[in-house]
Amino acid sequence: MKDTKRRLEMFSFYDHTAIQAHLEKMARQGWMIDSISNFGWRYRKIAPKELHFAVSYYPKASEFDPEPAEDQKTFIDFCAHTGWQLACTSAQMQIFYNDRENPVPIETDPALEVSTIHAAAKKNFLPAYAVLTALGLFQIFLMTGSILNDPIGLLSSTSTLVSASCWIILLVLCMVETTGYFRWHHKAKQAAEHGEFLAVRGHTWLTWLCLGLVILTFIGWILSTVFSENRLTQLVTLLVLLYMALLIALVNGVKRLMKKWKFARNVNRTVTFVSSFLLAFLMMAGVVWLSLQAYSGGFLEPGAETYEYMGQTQILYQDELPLTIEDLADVDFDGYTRERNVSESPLLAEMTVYQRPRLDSDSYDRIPSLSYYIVIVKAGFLYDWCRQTMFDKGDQTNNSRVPEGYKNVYEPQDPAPWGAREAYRLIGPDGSPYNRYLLCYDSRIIEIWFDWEPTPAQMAVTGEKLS
Amino acid sequence: MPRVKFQTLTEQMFYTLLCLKDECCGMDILDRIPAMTDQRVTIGSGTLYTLLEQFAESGMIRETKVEGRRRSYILTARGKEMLDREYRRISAQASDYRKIFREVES
Repeated sequence: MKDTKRRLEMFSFYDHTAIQAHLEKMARQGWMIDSISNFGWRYRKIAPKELHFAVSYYPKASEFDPEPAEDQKTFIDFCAHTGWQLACTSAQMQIFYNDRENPVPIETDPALEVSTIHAAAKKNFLPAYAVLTALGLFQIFLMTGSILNDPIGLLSSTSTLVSASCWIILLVLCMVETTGYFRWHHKAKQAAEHGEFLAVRGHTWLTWLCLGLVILTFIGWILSTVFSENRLTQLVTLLVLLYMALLIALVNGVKRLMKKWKFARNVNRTVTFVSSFLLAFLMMAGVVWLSLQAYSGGFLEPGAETYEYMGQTQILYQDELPLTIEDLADVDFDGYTRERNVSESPLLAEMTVYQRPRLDSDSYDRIPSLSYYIVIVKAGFLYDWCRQTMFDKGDQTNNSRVPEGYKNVYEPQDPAPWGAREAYRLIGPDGSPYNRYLLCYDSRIIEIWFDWEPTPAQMAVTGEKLS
Repeated sequence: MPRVKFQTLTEQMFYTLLCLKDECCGMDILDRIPAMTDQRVTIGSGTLYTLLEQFAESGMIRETKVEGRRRSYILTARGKEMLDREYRRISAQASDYRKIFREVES
């Protein structure tokens, strides 16, 4: 039987009454708290017994202290004198236990207790949550920018949705915890004037809910990557996961090692912060470099080859395309690059497809090419919004930045030849039509560019292959 | 209205200062207060630690001796003045009580 066990506990920093009750229950079950770290609370096996626990706060302590300072040891001596033995410390939080029947509590003055908790909160809990809130708001701001510039791209990317969900969850948690703390502190000060300590109403359930949502989101992300057909996406996801795990492990390792080697608090804090920034920067640079290497040919999709053109390496993709030029016409040319990029989330999927002659082909300009962009709407409520977004991308009727007389316009066409619900063709400012079409099917919206004017038969094949 | 710091003293503050009429260390105070009040007043170790720090910062007590982690303190003139003021306040309350209830009884 194991003598130690580790658990993930989700208590608000200042919710000492809940922590005490929990530790008393654990002791009755034969588990004594041994240490608290970022990787959970560790318990050691003891004979089950009735113990009293007290959580006390020592604002002058720091999580970077190699061991309790002399002043803190004096505090611990005072507690030992009244039967309170130190179980463990975590930054400003100190956990004591007492086996006496009715021990004198460590804190007997509510006003002093509230002010001590507040001093400890100002040193650790509140700044940490303020930084997280600021980072969360910054991320939301960046994502708002993305959703304005490329809304379909953002909603089709599982990794972006995962990142957005995690930041929103974190932001909600930070705000609820911080406002909850300030409300408690305000009321607790008033209650302390009447000699009462106001019990904390913690948000343990919310923290568990947030953690559960984050874990589910991550599982969804990993599963969607595993089943993704894009090997580059798989590689980048793997690199990002490794990056996060390594960064957390290394930064914690640096901090723990320096504590073990008894470095002073300020030295440890400085080295840990500097190394975390450096490691984050260097490792992210590594992830980006590897991803770029993979993208530029170091990590080729099956069937792809490379060739040199004007001193640069070009990739000749041979992806399977849902619609090819060969489906539409007799073409006697085998030097095409066939590229298909797919991005997919539970809400939307977008697919960009190019079939172009390789750049070193003779008579490059005379060989037909084809490109199209497909949006598959999985969440039906997004259909009209996606349609309008794609429509506005080509049609400049409502674009105030383009002067009148210079606007391209999508004009309705007969959708029947395409087998579509709606069909539009882009018309230039001088009234001349482009071979660019917007086609709306039941759950797909397609934008397609031809190098030539498609015949009704080619329209039918296009509709059949892409719808 | 929030209590202005040390304008009035809680029982725990009062007895802590009272103990420090003669030099003593924190752990002695933890024992003396219950003893001198027949267990009516007790003080928590954390509360006493914070009070000693605050009293020393405000000049009501001063450190006299440090033996390892054992620090001894004694009341200063300012601390005595604070105690006297509190004594007069409590006495005035007792006097008011007596005036009312003696009149009623007589």
